[in-house]
Amino acid sequence: MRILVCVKHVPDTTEVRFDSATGELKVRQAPTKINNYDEHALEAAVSLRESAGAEIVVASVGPPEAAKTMKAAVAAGGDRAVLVTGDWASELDAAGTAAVLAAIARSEGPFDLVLSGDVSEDGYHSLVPGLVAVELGLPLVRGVSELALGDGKATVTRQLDDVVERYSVTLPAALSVSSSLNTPRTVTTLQIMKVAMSKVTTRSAADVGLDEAAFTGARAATRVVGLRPAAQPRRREVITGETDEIVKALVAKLEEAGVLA
Amino acid sequence: MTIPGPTPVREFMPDLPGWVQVATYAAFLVSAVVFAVMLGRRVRRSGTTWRELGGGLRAALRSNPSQVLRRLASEVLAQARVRRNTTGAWLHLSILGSFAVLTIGTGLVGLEHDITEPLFGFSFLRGDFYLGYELVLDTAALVLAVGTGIAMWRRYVTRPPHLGGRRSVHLVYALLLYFSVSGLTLEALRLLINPVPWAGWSYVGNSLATALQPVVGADPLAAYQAVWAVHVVVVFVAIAILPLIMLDHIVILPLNILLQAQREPGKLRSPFNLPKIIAAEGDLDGVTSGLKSPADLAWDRRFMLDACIDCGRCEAVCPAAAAGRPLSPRVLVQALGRDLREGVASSTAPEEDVFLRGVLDEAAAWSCVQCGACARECPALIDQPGTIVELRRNLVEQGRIGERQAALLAGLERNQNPLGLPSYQRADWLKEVNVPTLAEHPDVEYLYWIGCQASYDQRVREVAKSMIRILQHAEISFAVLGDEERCLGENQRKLGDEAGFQMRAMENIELFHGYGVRKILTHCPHCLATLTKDYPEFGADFEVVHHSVLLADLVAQGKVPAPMADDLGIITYHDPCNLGRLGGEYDAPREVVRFARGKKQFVEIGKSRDRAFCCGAGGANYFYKVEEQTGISNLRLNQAIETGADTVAVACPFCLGMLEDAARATNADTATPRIADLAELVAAALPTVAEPEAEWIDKSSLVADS
Amino acid sequence: MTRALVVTQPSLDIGGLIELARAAADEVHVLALVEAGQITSTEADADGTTALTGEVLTSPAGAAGVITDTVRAHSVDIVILPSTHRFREVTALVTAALDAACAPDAVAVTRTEAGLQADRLLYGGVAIATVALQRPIAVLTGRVGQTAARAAGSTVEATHVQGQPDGRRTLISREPLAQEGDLSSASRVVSFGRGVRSRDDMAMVERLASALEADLACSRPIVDDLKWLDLSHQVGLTGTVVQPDLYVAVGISGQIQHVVGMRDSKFIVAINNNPGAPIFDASDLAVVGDLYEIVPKLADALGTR
Repeated sequence: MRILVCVKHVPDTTEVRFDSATGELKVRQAPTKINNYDEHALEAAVSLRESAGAEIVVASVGPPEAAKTMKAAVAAGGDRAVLVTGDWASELDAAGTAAVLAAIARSEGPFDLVLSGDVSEDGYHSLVPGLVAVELGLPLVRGVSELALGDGKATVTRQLDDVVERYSVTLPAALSVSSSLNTPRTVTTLQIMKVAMSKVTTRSAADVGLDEAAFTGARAATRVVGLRPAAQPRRREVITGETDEIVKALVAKLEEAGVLA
Repeated sequence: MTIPGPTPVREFMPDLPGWVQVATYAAFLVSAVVFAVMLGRRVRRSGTTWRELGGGLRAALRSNPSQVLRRLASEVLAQARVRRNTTGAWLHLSILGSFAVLTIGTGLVGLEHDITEPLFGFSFLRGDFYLGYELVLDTAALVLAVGTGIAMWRRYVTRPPHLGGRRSVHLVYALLLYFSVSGLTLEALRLLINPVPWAGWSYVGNSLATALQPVVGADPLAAYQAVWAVHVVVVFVAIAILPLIMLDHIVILPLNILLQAQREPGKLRSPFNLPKIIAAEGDLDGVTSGLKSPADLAWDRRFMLDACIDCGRCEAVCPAAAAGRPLSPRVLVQALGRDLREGVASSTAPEEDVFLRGVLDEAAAWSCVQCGACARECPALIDQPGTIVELRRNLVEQGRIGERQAALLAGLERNQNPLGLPSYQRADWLKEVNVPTLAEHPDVEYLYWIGCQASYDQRVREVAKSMIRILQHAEISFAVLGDEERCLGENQRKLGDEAGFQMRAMENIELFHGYGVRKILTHCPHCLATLTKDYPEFGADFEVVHHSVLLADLVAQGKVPAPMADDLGIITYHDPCNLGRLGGEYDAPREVVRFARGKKQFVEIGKSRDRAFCCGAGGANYFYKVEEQTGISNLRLNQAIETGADTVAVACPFCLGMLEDAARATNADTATPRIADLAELVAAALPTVAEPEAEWIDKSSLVADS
Repeated sequence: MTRALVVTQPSLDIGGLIELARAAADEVHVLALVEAGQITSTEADADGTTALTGEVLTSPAGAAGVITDTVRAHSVDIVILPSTHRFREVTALVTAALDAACAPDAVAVTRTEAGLQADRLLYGGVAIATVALQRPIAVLTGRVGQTAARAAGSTVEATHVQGQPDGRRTLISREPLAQEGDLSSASRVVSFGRGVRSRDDMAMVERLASALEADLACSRPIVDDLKWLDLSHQVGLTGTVVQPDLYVAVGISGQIQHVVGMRDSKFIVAINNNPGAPIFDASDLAVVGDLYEIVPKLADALGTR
């Protein structure tokens, strides 16, 4: 059984901020990591390997620093990782990302299962899994919270806004997973450092049959042309002290704000 | 004094046929050989070889002979740790002391008979010396019986819960009592056979003789020979089996003390040195972290774990055990020792680790607060805290950690602080305070290390703000790192993420070196301990000063005022584990509060200084929850409340947080003392900085004067 | 003349989507995908409403196909879909099929000389990015509300569409999630996080919620890690975005991923015993204290009002 797990190398969103002095969005300086949702996908692949045996290939497209995330993915259970990289790869939009991931899938494939997290922490587009599925001609279910394989089929559960659905999907298929699927294992610094660099292959776009000019810059489907801080003006009035005082003050202020029923 | 009649002398083996003397020495030889063989078995029980042991002892004595020997003298001769428990002190000193006296005394007889008399014609067991000798020996025999009695009373009647003890302890009591009684009986019978005018000096034996007179008066010689035969057999058997019963500690403990003497309290051993490996571009293949099974340990650590005599003194002082957590250092070390012996005996390396095999519970490893109280008490110098961290390292590498621990490690990795808050928010509060940063002023005397707690926790920030006011008032040259500051990595190390810690250390040391930092001032004992104990191995060479020491200096020199006594009321001080027991600093913080002006009263908490009871935050426990019956911090707060103090002075942000939390959790009708850091107490006494009033000068009046 | 197509399903409040459509295009049409037994009515602010029904619509691929056909047939320039979980797959499939430029969760859209630009949140809500949509067809998604039957225009007959759902993906079962109402339209919300230590303690928070006549919600760890509540209760970037009049955060630290889900609330009260909790930066009232003390007493006080 062959599983492809698509992961994204993202800045830690808790560390991204606007520099109040320069107004610049400090993304480059933020530490980077593997997208949390993709960790769930990787964990799912590892569970499947433990029960049924599989080869797990981890794929990603990103800047050269993403090699570190690839090592972490291998430490978390991937057998090997393929990273398509280049300077153009740090500002790739969803469509471009999907094109590259699909190209990696084609060049490393065939795969029985293509897994990824539902969404990436930085962009929150939730588009890539679907775009990749269409590129590869695979059926897709997103939001997977339970997963079982058998008989050439995947049986999955997923939750929508108001219903819980169970599907049977024929393999090969693409699944994107929600964070309630499992708890990803902790990977320690030592384990990551021990991953041999030979397990991470870096490629260029040409190596997977693509010309990055076709989907970057002015030819990208979407392009970020401006960034500004999301404003957040709040009163931040502190109430503290004895519980009874707090409660009294709270009730008074809630009434004052006109928010009580 | 002179006694009329023949000179008092000690006769050698009186009333026994000559061949008995030869047989006795032969038997002694046999017994000694058996002892040596048994001792060998005892040493090899932990998989240690004589060569390793010898090599280790030589290395210890060569590397720092004065420290090692001083330690040996302190623990073995002066019985320093034994004396920390009153009952234990009485019973052990009695038994050990009296037995030593009796052994030396008996030895002197042999020495005189076989060496000094035949070779040098010199005898000393005569005259006044001999009379004193008899007095001392009789007293020793009595003390031996009394000491054994105390031990038996404690074990069979009082039964303190922490008291462990191997099965052979009952046999040992019997032996000791036997030696005492039998020895005195022999003396009594000797006096009956050969009454001497100086018998009164052997007062116990003499009284016993009077008592025995009616019983054996007819043929005391036969009785003597019988009792003597049994006595000698028992003695030689006892010597032979000594390494097999709990009396093995007589040899093993001093050996372990020699091997462990140079161990620094609170200093963990590194399984590898990552920065060195990286610098040398070495590969990490063989690098492992953590203890899976005791059989994996190096011989000296195996020997150490096997040295545990199950005395239970560690358990008696362990805050986790007191709180009802599933941890007792005694049980842990004993379980590891048993597992070790089984492993050595079966000579197969177990596949699974001690947790998976049910030898230990994972919860025990996480329950430890790394306060070092156990290691401080242990007469065998066993390193329980270090062993526990080594167990944690294995669990971390296996990912078998609780959710909170995982979140803590992830937060440290990503945001470089244990709270998992954005690193850029660390220095936001510094905008309110006018403090120079190291980037702007690299040539200052002190780097004032703010630390993660003060950076993110509003309550602890008060300590840093107070300290800054004090430093500015005293015009001390200092700067802070501002938003370049990152966690030192203590929690990573204590949790067991050794590589994560070492990477942090490497980065921080590079940062410090980049600025040419020489002296670091910190209000946090955890940061202090990490910088002074953990960082040097990775290249750190800074002088680190805890704020209590600087404050004591400043107050003594009058550069800052002493805390206001009226505000403090009755004041006590809670020793932080990392500053006190592990750091050795008890006095400076006390001086700060003792200097308080006005009427004041300083009281000590019952468990203070090196016996201080932890607040419960250590070993990363501040950041995760362990199952327990009572909170460790609640126990400590109650101890403080018992002193009747109005104020509890602390010198650690974690102690501050824990005790205040405990105070908040106490029910409303119990009055709880105010918890305050030393810096806050001193800063409160500083004159408030008021805008100086602009002085209005009447220039017209000046003109007239000039 | 640019044309926008707003896709919806019955019982969604698409006022926000219509707004986006109006900002992006001259003409706005609504396409309602209707399941058997549902009724849809005309949207007041749209230039036209069409309803389609059919088995093919039950799978995202089928629905995407139908939408794509409609787009091509009517020369639609902009497709706007609800940013609900149900429509996420459809959005990706439609984007792929049309080779469109997609900006999900758009909060605003503007027409410029160079083309359409959409604003959306990035990095967990820290930044607003202005994204240029560089394809002939643009796909946007936006926030919708849940409503009961809207008092709108006349009923629209649903036209049946032929087609088979994707055979590779078969629905085995669909069960409604037991719901106490939809968070996104709640006017008062009481939400709790890890500060609540045990499942049994939830009752205390529920009591406060009923005293306030508020809906109960929670942060991600409660759903994902502890599984005390299901996804429908989760507020945050990966849960529901709420904008009630009152949002009370009990024992929530306030990481940005949660804050983004409630930052548009009119009035935010946070109760936390850690004075450094980030939630306080996002709050109007920062109550520093022990929630175990405050919540029951507050519920009492409100009950006796």
